Amino acid sequence: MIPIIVFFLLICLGVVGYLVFKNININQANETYRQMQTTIAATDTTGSGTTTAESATTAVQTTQNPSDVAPRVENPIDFQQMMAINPDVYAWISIPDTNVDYPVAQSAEYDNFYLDHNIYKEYSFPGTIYSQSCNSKDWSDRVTLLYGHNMLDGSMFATLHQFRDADFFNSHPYFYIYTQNRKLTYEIVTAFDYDDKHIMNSYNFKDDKVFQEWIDEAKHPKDLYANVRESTKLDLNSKFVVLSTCQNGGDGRYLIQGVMIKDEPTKLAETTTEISENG
Amino acid sequence: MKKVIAMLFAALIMAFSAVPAFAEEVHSPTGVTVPDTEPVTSPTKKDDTPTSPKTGSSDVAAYSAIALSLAAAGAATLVFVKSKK
Repeated sequence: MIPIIVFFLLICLGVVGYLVFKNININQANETYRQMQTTIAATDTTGSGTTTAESATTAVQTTQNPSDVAPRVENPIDFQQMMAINPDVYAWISIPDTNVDYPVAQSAEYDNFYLDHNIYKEYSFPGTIYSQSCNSKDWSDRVTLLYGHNMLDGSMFATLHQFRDADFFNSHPYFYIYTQNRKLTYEIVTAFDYDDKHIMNSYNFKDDKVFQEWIDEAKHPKDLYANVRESTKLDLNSKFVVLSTCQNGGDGRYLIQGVMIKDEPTKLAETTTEISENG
Repeated sequence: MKKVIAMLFAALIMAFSAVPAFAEEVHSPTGVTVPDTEPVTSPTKKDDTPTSPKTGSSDVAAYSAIALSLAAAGAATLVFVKSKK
């Protein structure tokens, strides 16, 4: 009987040890991202925003040479430093009044590498916000998927669930993606529950008919509690970015879908502040 | 019976001690030169599953395991104590 008691106590100790390790790992990851947000990024996450309602109605500037068209805006991200840490990191996403203010990566070796690895390529429960190789890194695809964990401590994509509230959805219409020389503004069209279907593997968005059906569903999602911005104009030239995270319960996903409304060239950042690896 | 068990242990020890000898015969895979005609941009492991990456974070399974193992240990302790009386 004693060996049985010891056996079950060892299981209990082992699981407790795993939870302790997990929490330490998550706290380290959060500290690393906090440092990055203060040293590499100087994004405005307070909700004051950089895009007014008037400028949001400007036609999308999808020029091949952004430097030839519009004056350059400030780029708050030190891409030089970030890409020196990891060249897989190619963008930065920021959503005002949420905790979403993170680098975006895409692995060249394994599509889901960053599901459980940080930008230093170390094992990390929160992972990194990432896209898969089926999406190009220049944001030119009709639909680009970004994945992030729904962490219990509110980090990564957990605060996307704030968009379930209609008031929050209506008062926070934009999110921003920065690349090395561009600032992309996306207007949030829909926030809704979805099943766990792999969207990029299920739809061929190069087919106009399929893409049109996707656009129609964006305005009329099956989720009864979805929030939809009816005023957003969508057509076959629209470029969507879909932010995907798990639901708080169940096997489905919660999606925030934005359409690109502005593509501005940026100045290059010149900061060279160093950050430590482990916060 | 003791001799049988001792022979089994001896056989296991001999089997494990032979592993390093076999391991020395295993050569690390050599690099392969990729011909220029093959595409080099595709990742080695592409996600072609029908299910979206699981981006949840739940400790329900861990806490359930703790609760169950504590309950089992407690039940075993109770049985042990009662059997001693």
